[in-house]
Amino acid sequence: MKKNYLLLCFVAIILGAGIFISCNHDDNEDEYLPVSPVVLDVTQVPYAKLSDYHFFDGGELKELSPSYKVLPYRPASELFTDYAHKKRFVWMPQGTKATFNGNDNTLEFPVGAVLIKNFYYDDVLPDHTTKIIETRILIKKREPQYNDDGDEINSGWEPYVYIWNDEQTEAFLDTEQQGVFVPVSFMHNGQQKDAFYKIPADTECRTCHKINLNETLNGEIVIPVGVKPQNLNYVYDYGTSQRNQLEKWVAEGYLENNIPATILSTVDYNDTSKPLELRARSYMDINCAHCHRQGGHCDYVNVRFNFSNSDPETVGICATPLFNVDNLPYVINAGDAANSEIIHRISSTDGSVMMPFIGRSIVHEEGVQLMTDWINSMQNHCN
Amino acid sequence: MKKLYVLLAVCSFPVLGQAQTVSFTQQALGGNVPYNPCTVDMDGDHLDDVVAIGSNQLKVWKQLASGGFTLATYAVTGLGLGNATPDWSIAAGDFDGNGFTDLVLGNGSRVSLVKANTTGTGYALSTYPQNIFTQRTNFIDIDNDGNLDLWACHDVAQSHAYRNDGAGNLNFDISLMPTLAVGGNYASIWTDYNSDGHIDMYLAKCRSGAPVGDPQRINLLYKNNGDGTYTEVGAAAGVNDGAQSWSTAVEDFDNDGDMDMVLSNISDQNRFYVNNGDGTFTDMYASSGIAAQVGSWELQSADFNNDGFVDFLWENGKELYLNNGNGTFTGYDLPFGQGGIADLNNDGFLDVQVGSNIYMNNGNPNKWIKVTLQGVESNRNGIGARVEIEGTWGKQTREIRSGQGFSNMSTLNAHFGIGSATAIPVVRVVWPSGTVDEYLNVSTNSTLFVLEGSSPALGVNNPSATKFTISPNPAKDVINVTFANDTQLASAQIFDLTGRKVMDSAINVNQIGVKSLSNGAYVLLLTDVDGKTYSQKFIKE
Repeated sequence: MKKNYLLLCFVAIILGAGIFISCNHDDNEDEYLPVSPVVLDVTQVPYAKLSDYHFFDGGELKELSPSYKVLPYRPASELFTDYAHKKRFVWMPQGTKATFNGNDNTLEFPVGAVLIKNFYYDDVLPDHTTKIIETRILIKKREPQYNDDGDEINSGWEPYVYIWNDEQTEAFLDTEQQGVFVPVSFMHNGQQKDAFYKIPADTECRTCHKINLNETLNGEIVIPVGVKPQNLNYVYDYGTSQRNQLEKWVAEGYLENNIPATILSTVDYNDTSKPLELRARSYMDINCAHCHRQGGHCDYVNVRFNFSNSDPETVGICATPLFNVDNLPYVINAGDAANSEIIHRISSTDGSVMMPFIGRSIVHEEGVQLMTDWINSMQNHCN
Repeated sequence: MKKLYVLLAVCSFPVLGQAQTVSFTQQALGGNVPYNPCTVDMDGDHLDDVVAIGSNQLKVWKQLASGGFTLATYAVTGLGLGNATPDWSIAAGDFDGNGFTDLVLGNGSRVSLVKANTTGTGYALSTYPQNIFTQRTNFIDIDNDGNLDLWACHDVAQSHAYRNDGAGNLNFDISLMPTLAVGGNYASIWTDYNSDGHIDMYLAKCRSGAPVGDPQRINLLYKNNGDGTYTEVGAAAGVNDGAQSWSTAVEDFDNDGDMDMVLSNISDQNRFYVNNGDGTFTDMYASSGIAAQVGSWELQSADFNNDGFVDFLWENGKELYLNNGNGTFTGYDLPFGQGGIADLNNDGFLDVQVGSNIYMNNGNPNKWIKVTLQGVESNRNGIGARVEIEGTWGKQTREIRSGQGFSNMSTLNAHFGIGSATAIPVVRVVWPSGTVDEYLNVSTNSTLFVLEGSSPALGVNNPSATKFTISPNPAKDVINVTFANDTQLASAQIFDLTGRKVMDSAINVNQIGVKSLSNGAYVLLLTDVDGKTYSQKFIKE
């Protein structure tokens, strides 16, 4: 049993989460300042069980009630994963923080930082139960390494997967790393969905989370995808308060306070009050741009789906597909979604046609509709 | 509904001298083939069938000898669901040698087998537990032990091999063929590039985002050392291209007796590697007449106009490139750029099946020959065999391959066009076992069935011939079989020269009654109690 409270008494700290501890040299008794119970020794991870990390000591493990300093977050625009719900958390060692590295780049995290992503369904058939399937974590285990040209050749990030037991009492490290299929039927907006959910193999984690930004020999590195300022510049409901996540991270001591005043930001693509184009581009960013960007897994396809790309041609509008597909002359056929490659691919479940080709077994109907609406709304047709 | 697509390819060839027309008639299959096409004989009659992976079922449009198809549907639990789909590739081969074709499904997460039972009346699905982002799959006898092994390219890690244990099982075993332990493995073409009688493998590689020079995107050539091991010689052979290759068509495009290669690349330029005959290649793309466009993930070859030169299909602007026979090709538009290539109406012209259609080749006056194989010492399908024909055209060469191009499965029969030639002086089959069968003066516009070791020119190199003798030969009522050792026979089968089985019986004495057979030439196939097989030809009179 680790000590959860560190004896410390040198300054008064007011913590935003409502914990107040006064500290006074004159007190007769030593006062205890709360510290995170999280256990994370980068030389020892990955641990065998999810509970070994003490990320969720706020209740039963399956409640995913975060321990002190385990901070929930959500990117404005979320990756579709067979309609699985997600609960994401970040934790960093005491006294360390992330730094800004551009609106559309992943924050630079300190060694020991961990990103935790739980995948679950809350209306699983036949009994309409909640089922947590897996918890994926990314741990920054070491400082990045660079080659002589200054190109990064190791980010220090490593991906691990913990698979929940049927009793939902524990999740165990996937040591096989071959991927595990979990057929799941669930209700989504009153409709039954049947997914052939896949807990990813190690190589699949790396396929989506890798980048070779400068196309360097041995330059493929693992990076987090969602934690970019453009996605975190978004209000999150922390339960006791609603706050912009970047501000919150700064307040928590998790982010250096040098964030630009203006950040070109994605939106929640489900939010119909937002402009259609922004929603669609946000959708493309989080679902497509980890591969379809410079140095990504689909780098050689000449489209760049990152939100910050302002060039219509490389966004795919009236762009000729690299791979010829019958009757689909353009990636995005402005005004004609039905004859757009991108709609063909996001509507497919054939592995060699579908996009994305990892992370889903069924079609994201709402996503297809969003992209269809956007493409059909375009006034300037191709040709 | 029939649509007629005609392209006129009026070319003149000094050797074959026949103006060529290629046209295809679009014909509804009567169903849809999801995923990748597979046009291969499933039931041992050497007529190409059309295979579709359905949900919980396998569908086979079986080609009838009388023309057309009959649809057979087999319940196969789990097939076509989840990861049991051939979304990246499909290949076919009778890996357990029971006379009925099995399938491998290359999926983005798993490799699965669809195995025919001993009567061909049912199929069973099994899925390997290893994760693999499968690309090209092949059945191929990697260690040349007479059994088909299985090969699967892996997009993001070292590729997989599966060893045939000789008892009808394929066991995951990378040590059978340990290729470079990095990803980027897209298409493996098994070919005897140096014509030394041992199968080699060319591996097209591609890795997006990787820089020039990254080993994940440098093509490799694995040369067979002749002892079941392989050595990578891509650089020495001059084929270590690094332009993001997806597929390779390996054929003797110039009919000089060795295999050349066309590469379909995603960046920079495609390649046309002409074999120098000394283990090296020279890129002749610049003078080939093939357009510079890159970006086709399929590339499949066949002689579509039966002029005696191998053409190819891809998806780069012009879908069909006809081989002009002089080192150049001419491109033509077609409404399809890939599919399962096979003779689906048994007219000697190759057709293409894709989706819910067959593009039936309308043919032309050019003549042809097809050679169908049944291995004895070698694997049942003769995969890895080299088939050669010699005549006024010089020499043409085919290799029997399971899994050509990037994703589809085409016929396992060797098909040759011979233009206006009127005779086929020599047909030769060089089997993986080393056995050579040679047939002289074979009829044009015919199908020649070759059972391994059964050719009239026995003794060319036939291990079976040294093991048993037939007497009398020619025979009237019975034939007596005498073995050099104490082989115990279990069964005998007799085939006519079209490959039709005319007798199948269990035997325990080395005498077989042949009285009921019509006069003519036959092939006797013997199986001993250990399952080993032997064959010879005999004459009934």
